[in-house]
Amino acid sequence: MRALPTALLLLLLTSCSSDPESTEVRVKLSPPDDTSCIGVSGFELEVTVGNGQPTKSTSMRSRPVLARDDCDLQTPVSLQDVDLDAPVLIVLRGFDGARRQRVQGMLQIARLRDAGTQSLTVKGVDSSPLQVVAIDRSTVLKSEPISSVTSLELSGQSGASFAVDAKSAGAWFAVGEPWAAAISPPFATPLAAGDDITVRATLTKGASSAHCVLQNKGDYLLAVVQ
Amino acid sequence: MRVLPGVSIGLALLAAASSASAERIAVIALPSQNQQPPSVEADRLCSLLISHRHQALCSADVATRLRAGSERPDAAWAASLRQTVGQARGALTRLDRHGASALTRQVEAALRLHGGGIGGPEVLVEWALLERSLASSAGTAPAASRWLRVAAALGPSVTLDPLNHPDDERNAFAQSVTEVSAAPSAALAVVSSPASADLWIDGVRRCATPCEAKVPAGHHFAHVASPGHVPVTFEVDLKPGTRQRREVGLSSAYTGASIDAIAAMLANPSRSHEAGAAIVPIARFLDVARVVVVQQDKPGSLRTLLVSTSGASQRRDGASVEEVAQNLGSGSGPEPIDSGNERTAWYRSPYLWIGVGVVLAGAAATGVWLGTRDDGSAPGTGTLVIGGR
Repeated sequence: MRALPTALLLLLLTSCSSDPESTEVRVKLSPPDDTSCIGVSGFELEVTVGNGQPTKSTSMRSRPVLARDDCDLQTPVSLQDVDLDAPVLIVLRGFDGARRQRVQGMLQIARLRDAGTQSLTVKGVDSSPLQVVAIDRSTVLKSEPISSVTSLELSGQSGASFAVDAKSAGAWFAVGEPWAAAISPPFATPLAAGDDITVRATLTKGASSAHCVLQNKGDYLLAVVQ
Repeated sequence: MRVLPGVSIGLALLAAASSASAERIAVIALPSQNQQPPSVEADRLCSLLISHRHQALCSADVATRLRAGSERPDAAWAASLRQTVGQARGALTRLDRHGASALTRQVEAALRLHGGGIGGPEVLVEWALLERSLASSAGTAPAASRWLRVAAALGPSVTLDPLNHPDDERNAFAQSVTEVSAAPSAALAVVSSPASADLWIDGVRRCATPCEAKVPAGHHFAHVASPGHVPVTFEVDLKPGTRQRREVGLSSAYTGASIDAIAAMLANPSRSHEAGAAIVPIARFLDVARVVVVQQDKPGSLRTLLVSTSGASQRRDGASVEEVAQNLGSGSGPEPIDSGNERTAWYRSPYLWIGVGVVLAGAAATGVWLGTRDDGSAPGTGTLVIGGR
């Protein structure tokens, strides 16, 4: 019977190894294989080390995600002095230009010391990917600054419309051009390339609107001012 | 050669020890007399349970599953939607197109969620005519005429109220009804499992499944309902003279005590056992080993009730989310109340072998630590870099 713990000990001693020199652990984002990340303007990160309080941070992008493999933080988030022997829980959420959560991901690392490079799988939060419309707002606003916009409304020919309150959307709305967001699918007839839509921006003083035609860009529709 | 079987047994014991605490657990946030449901704390608990490798059903998901099928989209529901349609028409009159559009989307979402409901076709016609008015106000005549045809197909027998609909709208609707009725009709055949479910099309009960209903060509809402089951809803676009067949499966609905009733029981310490008994059917319905009910008595103070499918319950007042998660994470759930089961031999107890496994794992871990420690070079902290190419 004494062979049992001895053998187990030997087995584990020979199979386990540690790398005392490696002090940096990288977490790469694995993008979803559908269009659920298209339009995402930035990410919220929550990192919990051991039993400590979660560290929250926001990583905004300079422009939204418009290609499937671009679903990533443009600027990596770096946490210094992390206990290498504690478990780490990383929760990531991605929001589009209307501050609607579109993707999420979670990664649990039992011990950073042996982690090396890890992959965090990002998945869409909706049961099926939503239709995304992108627009260069400067073509609608002309000389007015983005900060003067209080709301933006996109109206389709069917009478369906989608509106976003710029103040509520905050930094997610203020992302660089083209602004992009998932629109609720209009009843019966989703928007399609060639459709006319009206884009109306309500400003702190007055309003500005433009008629646009939708162009198919593969994973999203781009509204181009006529 | 006696070493290999020994290693195999040891690894099996370790595997048993590591998987012993992984369970399917549901978390429910309940309101209390003075406090809203502690959703944030419930979500945090759910995250912690997932991090402890449990399969956790989080509060919002649980609430959706428990409420599925409990709402009855009947005449009262339809009347409230018609009121919203009236408000949207009012907004349109005030040239508040944005407000009218938002209210219209609310009505549309409710109608789509309940497959047109079971409160008659009037609300559907009202909604389609509202969409027509919105399209007209946007200057899109083709869309407006399309919505008129949709309205006529949804309720050809509906008579519009002259107080709410101007003459030109009523005349246009009557003209469209004549055109829709003159066209060849279509048919929708529905087969359900279980059978004998009620088939409602555009808010009107048509037949018991399996059955076929004739309808005007166009867009229609269908709602298939059977007592004790979650209704199935869908929409169809039927061309003139065509027939469409649909097969639907109805899943069982939760029919036990309501969330509000359980919240009231839990608020009273003398009714904890009653609350525990009421939660057991929830655990069975959700197919989970345990249910954790979280309630906030006063800000910062949580009350939890841990219930297992055996009926055992454990109430804790003032425990933090982390403590509750730790309690569940270590596998120290409540013991069954009924201990009248047949006694088993001591060596058949899984706890004994889990204990043996843990002791062996501890010995192995100590060995690994002793063998690999390097006092001089192993750093205690490092850098975690997330994202970026």
